[in-house]
Amino acid sequence: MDLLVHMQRPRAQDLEASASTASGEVRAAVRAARDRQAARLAGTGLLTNAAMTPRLLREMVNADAAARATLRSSYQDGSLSARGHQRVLRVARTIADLAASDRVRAVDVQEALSLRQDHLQFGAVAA
Amino acid sequence: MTACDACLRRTALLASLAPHVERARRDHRHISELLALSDDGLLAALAGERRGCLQRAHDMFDPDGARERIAGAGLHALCRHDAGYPARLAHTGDAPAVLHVAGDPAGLTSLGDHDAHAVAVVGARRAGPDGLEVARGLGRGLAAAGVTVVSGMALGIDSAAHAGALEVGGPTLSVLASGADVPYPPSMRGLYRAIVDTQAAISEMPPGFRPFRWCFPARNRTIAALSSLTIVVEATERSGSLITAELAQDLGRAVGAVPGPVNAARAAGSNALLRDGALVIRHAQDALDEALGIGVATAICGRRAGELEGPLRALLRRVEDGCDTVCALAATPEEAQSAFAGLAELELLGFVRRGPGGRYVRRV
Repeated sequence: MDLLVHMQRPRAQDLEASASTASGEVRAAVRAARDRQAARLAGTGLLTNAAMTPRLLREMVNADAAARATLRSSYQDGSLSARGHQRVLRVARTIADLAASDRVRAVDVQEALSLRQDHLQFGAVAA
Repeated sequence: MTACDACLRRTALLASLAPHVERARRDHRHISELLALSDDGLLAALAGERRGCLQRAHDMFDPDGARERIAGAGLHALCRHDAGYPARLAHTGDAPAVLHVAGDPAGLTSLGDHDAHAVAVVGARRAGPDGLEVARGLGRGLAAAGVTVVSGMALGIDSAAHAGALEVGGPTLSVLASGADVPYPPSMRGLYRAIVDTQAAISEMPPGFRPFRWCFPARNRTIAALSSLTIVVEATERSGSLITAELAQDLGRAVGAVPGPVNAARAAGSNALLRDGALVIRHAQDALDEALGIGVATAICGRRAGELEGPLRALLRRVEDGCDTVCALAATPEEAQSAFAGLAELELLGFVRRGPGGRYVRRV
């Protein structure tokens, strides 16, 4: 599971308001992102970031120094497991694809970290 | 570090009478009055028609068998007559006959002298994210100053206080209603392991014992008696942690409470304690000032918002003002993207923590 996000019940006024994004636009953005992924993975026989092996991910992620530093500090303070580290990088690559960026930037990694509710060691103390 | 025959026999009697004590609790008998009775008094008060049978078992009790079971479960045992038995606890009328210890017995015997400091942090199982964060901060601040954080490993506030202490490597001591070798609640197995590895989990009940309801208020008396100060973080008006506070007060120990919103039922009990004169505890510094004396130790502090640059500072303000989810912080997907990124950065910098339900809380 790459994304673990808690959802809140929408407020009444959210349901009454008009949709903030059109499905058509989202669809176009997803198409474009998948095209970028397929182009990058040409020759590997794969089509999506999800299919990348850890080695391919390392070779193709193209993360800048700030992005790597962000990921490193999150791993070092213990809030990310080794497996989580891989997943966050993969999701960050996809976020960058959706933003039509060749490089994975720090903001992409930060967003990916927020989309991962890692079960911290004693995080689940509430009833 | 030993337990004498008579004290082991007492423990076995209490375990075999446990269902009878439960019935007495339902008939509104006071648990601490029952626990202060002698062995014969307990049998007379509770056993009813099974008295003869239970009396025979009591007379034929095999202390060496009990010692073997304790060792077999990987526990240590010490009784009220052992020099290592915590002095603060020994001086109470209904103190446990035997303490079974999982972990380092030295972690418990170090509480024996009066200048070893221990503070209880207790509260609601169903606590809010703010209460959990406050409990965690108290655990961390007290433990970092070398004060043992005593609690009951229950869901919510108790385990948050333990977890906070473990963040800085302890010390923290857990008093269980089950046997000391039985992690209760079972979901806290990981926390139990960490507590046992760091210091100790203790219980007055024999190994393998599954708790009845009366065991929880009984356990609370041990928590209160071991600690020089008992802090209630969040408690409803009928909360078990109010029992702990009352027991602490009866023993002449200090009682404190963390103020909560006056319109929140989950803080009604703790706020009522404050109304009745309990100490106001806002953070670990207040607790340290009370437990050790004013200014003796300085609590480690959370990060100050002044260190942050503009947009992150504004985001932190909004989280502090109660916009604690991405939905509340962002109306459009673009805003959500920057909110996600900003929150991750605040989290990495140690300003916020992701709580249950995906809510963000300001770290203390």
